[in-house]
Amino acid sequence: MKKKITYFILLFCWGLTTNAKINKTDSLLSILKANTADTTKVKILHQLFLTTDSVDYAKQSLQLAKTIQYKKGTAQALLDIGRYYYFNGKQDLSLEFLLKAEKAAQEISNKKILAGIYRYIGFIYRNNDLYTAEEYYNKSLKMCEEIGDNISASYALSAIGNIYEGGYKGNSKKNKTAIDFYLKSLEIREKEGSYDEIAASLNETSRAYDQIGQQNKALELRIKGLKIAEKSNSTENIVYLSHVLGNDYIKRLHDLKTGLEYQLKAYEIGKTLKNNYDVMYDISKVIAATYYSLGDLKKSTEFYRESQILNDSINAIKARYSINLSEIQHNLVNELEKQKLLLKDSEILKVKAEAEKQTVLRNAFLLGFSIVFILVIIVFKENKQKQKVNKELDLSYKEIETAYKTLAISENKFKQITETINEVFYLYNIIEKKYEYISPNCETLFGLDANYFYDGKNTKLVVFKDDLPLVVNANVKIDAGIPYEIEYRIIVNNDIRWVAEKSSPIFDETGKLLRNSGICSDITLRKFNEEVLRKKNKDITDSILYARTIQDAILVPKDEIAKQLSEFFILSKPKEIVSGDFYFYKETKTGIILAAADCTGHGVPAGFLSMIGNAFLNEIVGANETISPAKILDLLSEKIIKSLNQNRSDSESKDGMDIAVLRFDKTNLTVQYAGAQNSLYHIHQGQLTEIKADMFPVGISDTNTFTAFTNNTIDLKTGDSLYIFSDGFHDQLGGADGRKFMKKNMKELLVSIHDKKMPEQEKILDQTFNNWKGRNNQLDDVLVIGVRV
Amino acid sequence: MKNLIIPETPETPEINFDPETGVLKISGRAYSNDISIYYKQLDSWLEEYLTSPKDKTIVELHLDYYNSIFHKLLFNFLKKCKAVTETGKKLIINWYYHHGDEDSIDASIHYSKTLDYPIEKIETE
Repeated sequence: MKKKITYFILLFCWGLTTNAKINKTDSLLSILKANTADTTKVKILHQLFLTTDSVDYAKQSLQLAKTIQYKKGTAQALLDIGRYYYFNGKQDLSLEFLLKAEKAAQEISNKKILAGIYRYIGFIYRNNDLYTAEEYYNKSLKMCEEIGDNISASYALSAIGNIYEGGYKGNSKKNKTAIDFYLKSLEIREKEGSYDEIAASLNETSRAYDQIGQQNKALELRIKGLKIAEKSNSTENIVYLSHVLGNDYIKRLHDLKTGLEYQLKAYEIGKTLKNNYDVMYDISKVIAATYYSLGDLKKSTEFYRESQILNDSINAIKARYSINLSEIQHNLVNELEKQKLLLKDSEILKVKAEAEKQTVLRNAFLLGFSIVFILVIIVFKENKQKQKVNKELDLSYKEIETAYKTLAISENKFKQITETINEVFYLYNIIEKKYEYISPNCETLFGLDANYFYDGKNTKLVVFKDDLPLVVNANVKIDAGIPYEIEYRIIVNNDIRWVAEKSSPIFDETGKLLRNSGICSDITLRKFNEEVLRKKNKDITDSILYARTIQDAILVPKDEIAKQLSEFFILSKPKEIVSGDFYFYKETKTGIILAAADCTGHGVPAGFLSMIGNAFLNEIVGANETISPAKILDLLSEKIIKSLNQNRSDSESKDGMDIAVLRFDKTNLTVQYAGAQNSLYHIHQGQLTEIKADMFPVGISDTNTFTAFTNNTIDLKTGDSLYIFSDGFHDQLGGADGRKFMKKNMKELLVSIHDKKMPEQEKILDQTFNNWKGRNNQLDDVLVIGVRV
Repeated sequence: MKNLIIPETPETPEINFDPETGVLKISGRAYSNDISIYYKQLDSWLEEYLTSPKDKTIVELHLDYYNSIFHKLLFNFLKKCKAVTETGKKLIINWYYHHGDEDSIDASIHYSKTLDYPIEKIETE
């Protein structure tokens, strides 16, 4: 009885701590020694087998049980040996013993042992005969139900579920059934199971939910599993579940923030575990990718680098791992052998020994058994875990690889853009006052590489000092959220370059100014071309101005004219610099010739014509001083036609002249007039008379016949005023409706001012013209000549 | 045959020639120095039209202002139009002038004389 009590107390204290085990073993051994061969001894040997995992104990137990005809012990020992061989990979041997155990247990109808036996037979068949495996699991389950052993039932249920999950592949109905079994198992374990058992159930159920596409349910269960892992401080599971949950949130639910939280937890806790490189690698890769998506480039790069380091470690370890595994196995076997020997010694020592010796041995056992036991469990667990994790690792690794490939492609595209576009573009953070990004070609344009800008500096260093205020002003603008476009010079390698910079502000959703984007182009060439063009323009204008002075020089100066004509004005308003209208004045012995001429067109071409006209008139009057105006026109027309080859029908230019010519004789009592298109106005005592000109110009003939010009003689009285002009004045468009000024109005105007002094008349005409013209362009050269006799 | 439509610009007139109605309208201002395009376009269109003109061709001139360069073009244009009468078809030239614009009236008289063809003077306001 005493022995039995001790036995049960020991059983009650049985835990996973090796100390307890060793203590237990101590006690068991001492009891063993003290015991005679009986059922208790059989049981003790069974216990010893369970704590030491040494099959010898099981065999001894079997031996003894058979000898004393202890049927239960026999069945149990056979089961033990069968289990041992199963866990040691000797499946055929295992099955042999299990079947023997089955027979023995059936004889005594020990359902508990049968439950175990059936389950293990099921495990063996699991690999290649699912139906038989299921059969045995069901048998096991039945036994459990009959004896009310719920926990063992949960193992059977899990095992059946496992068959349905992976065994009958591709059949989702079967997968649903798997879940049913898993859920039943979970139910039991949540009530009665250990944390580890609950966690295992949650794990397998969530996995099965994943497979039938109910990821949300799987998520639920995994969150539960994580809580349990935290309660039981199962660090490996915390890391694993946090990682898996993180992935689910990130990849499936697209909830980057929550997913990142989980991944970071996995990472932090994972750091405390040793030899966790594979998982840490995956975790850090996912974190890197998630930070990137969230826009935190700094953290993303940090974790990416971390993952690279881990990757290197993994590769190094993988190389060693294959060697390690066989090493471990080798060590295991050695240890086992050692312990067998140690055990035998310790038996003897234990009986005799004082406390000190016991302690030494105990430590030796501690070391030995802990190594053995832990190694066995660890290797077994690791193997299973590794297989599982490896599979999931492969998947997530591929996903992240794809993500990084895509990233590399877009980075490449970006690089192509920045390397081929000449413009520099940048993102400047206004709050932190530094460049977030600047394209690498900034070095080509500014002579400053990107790091210079990232360090918080800007282009002011190279800006030409005269343009500095402009650049500073632009910065003020951008700080106020106003876009700008400026052009400024920079000095790079002692060269001056022109830069055009355009910048736009960027606001966040609340309207707060965050940063500005900008683009800088090298416009040195354009500026150079502009300068060349400007210079050419100036050259051209300069030469036209010079032409003008020549033109003016040819004209008889007004003060010369004033010597003979006391009262006159000449209002001349060229449309451009050089005029197509000109006046002609020549004093002869017999009279004064005064003419107002208007050459075809205006500007430089008309200017040329005016020079020719002037020259011809000089020639004509010079050759015959008494010549009449009409004759002048005849000869002028002839000369122009001849010299410009205007009689040839194929001649390009048919340019000519409208002109009014006056000849004052010495007495000033008559004036002769001839006109081509341009009339003469004669005002006598406030009455205006128009003497019409001939309606064809000088130089061009619309018809092929030559018509002589008409000579008119007009009597003059002192005080009369005469006006000759080109059509530029009365044809000017203006006023409210953009109409011509019209001859009618010009006549009225002249009549109204005819008695004013000549200079005043000129002024009034000028002003009236300007007012009428208003905003319209001047259409033609203006020339009005007034003379009072 | 298509219409010839050249939109008005500040320096050139609007051209609207309709081969279906036989109405050839020129209106606006003409003081651009570069009207070589006009020459070509008007010329080639007119040539094509003249191969099968309408029974009655009406030239409508609404010119506020034109310079001597355009004057050349206009004269040649009218001369060509006159050719229509040689095949027995009718030609009417309507010259629109603003009230009081003697120059315009005079010009139309001058054209008429030189062309040796009547030009209708129509006053507008």
